[in-house]
Amino acid sequence: MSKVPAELWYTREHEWLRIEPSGVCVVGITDYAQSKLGDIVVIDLPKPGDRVEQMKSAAVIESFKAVSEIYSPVTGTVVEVNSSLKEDPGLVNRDPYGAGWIFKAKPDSIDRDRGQLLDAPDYQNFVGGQG
Amino acid sequence: MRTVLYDYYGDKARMIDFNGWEMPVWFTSIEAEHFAVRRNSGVFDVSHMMRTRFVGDAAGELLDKLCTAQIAKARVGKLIYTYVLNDEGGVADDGIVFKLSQTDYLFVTNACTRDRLRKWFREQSEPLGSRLEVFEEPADRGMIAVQGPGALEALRSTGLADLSTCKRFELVTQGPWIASRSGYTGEDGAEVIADGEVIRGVYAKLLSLGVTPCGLGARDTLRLEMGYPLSCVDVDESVNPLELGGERHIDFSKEFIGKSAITGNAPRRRFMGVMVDEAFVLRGGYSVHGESGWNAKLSSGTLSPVLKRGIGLGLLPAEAKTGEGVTVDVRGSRVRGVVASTPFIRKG
Repeated sequence: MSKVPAELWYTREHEWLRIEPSGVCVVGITDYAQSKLGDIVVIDLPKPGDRVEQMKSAAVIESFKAVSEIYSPVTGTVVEVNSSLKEDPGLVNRDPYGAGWIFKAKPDSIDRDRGQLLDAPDYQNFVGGQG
Repeated sequence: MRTVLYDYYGDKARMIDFNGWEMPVWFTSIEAEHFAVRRNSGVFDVSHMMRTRFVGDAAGELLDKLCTAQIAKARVGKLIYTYVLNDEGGVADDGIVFKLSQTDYLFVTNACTRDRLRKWFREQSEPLGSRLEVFEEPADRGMIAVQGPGALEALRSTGLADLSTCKRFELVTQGPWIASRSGYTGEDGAEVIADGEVIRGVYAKLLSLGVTPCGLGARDTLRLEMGYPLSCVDVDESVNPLELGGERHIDFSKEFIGKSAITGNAPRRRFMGVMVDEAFVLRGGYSVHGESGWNAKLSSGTLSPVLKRGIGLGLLPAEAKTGEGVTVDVRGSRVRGVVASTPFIRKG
């Protein structure tokens, strides 16, 4: 059973979003996603200052078996990326909700974006349905 | 289809469909399983491989016609790597003939060519009538490969077979099981073919001895580091065995199907390796551009866990030379690399 922390928001493409008190949002991929992908061996990160749009590709991750897009859960501006993933992309497998975070973005309007996201129980049901 | 080990997998493995077989692709991690085989030992379920018996006094004669390598004159107890060609000299498959006796052979070929070869073997054996029987091993038999520096010792510890005095590409057999010193990883090791019950028992004992269960994902990264072609991925019937550099597996002193088509033609392309300077994942279909002006496509690739660099295999034009600079198109970027000799890593 994959972990679905209660305090996060989720996309149907298996990204998670943590809204920090400052309003900055942290983005990663879910435990379910990393377990399906297997070893993550390459990550192409966005750059601070890049614009990202909700549910448009913001980064690319590769496992041995596949190339996958990471979709931004919010529309906004990238403020920081997890550069330790360049050296150790496996952090995403080992700690998907912690050290394996991918980028931080300042959303233009979190209230608007949040309407498109799933809360933890809904995401749990969603992945449960995907077996 | 399910192998004799299917019930073991349960929720322990990530499963995929592989040519109609429900097979584990990894248990914990492709990379961890890869290093288990390179450093210690790992065990693979390879029961999906097609296994055809050729039994009778015409068995050697038929196999010599079907195969590029010399079969009938080979020693009993040998494994013989060979190509099966079509009439035009294209590679219908590659495989290994296990010579059990002068009149009894087991031919192990790939899962992806099963239907094609089944028909081909039947058509070719019919004119020989009762002089031989050709039949596939029943579904309740299986095949495992235990691979790595500790593989032979682990197999010995299971009590099934001691292959320490057996040379590479030789077999021992006793009643219903066959054990051979062979594999597809570049490491020393063994393959065991036996009834499901024996396979399940040996598999369980190997795991209890600390041998790592491995999936097809690691099997692929291991064979890629060795530069071994994979049937239906790197090789199809448009490829001739000389393009694969397979001269040593062809006996031109005998007759075999496809011989006239491949005789006297210098290959215009060759199966070669490409390695890029950085840790990118190369994949089948990626374009390669040589400094001297040629273009080609990779047929398979990966990120080498040992080298931490992208590696790929493909048929490159004959003018491509080992060491030549190339660029590879990786998701919109041009990545620098070289034409590399294989194996990409040096073993023993």
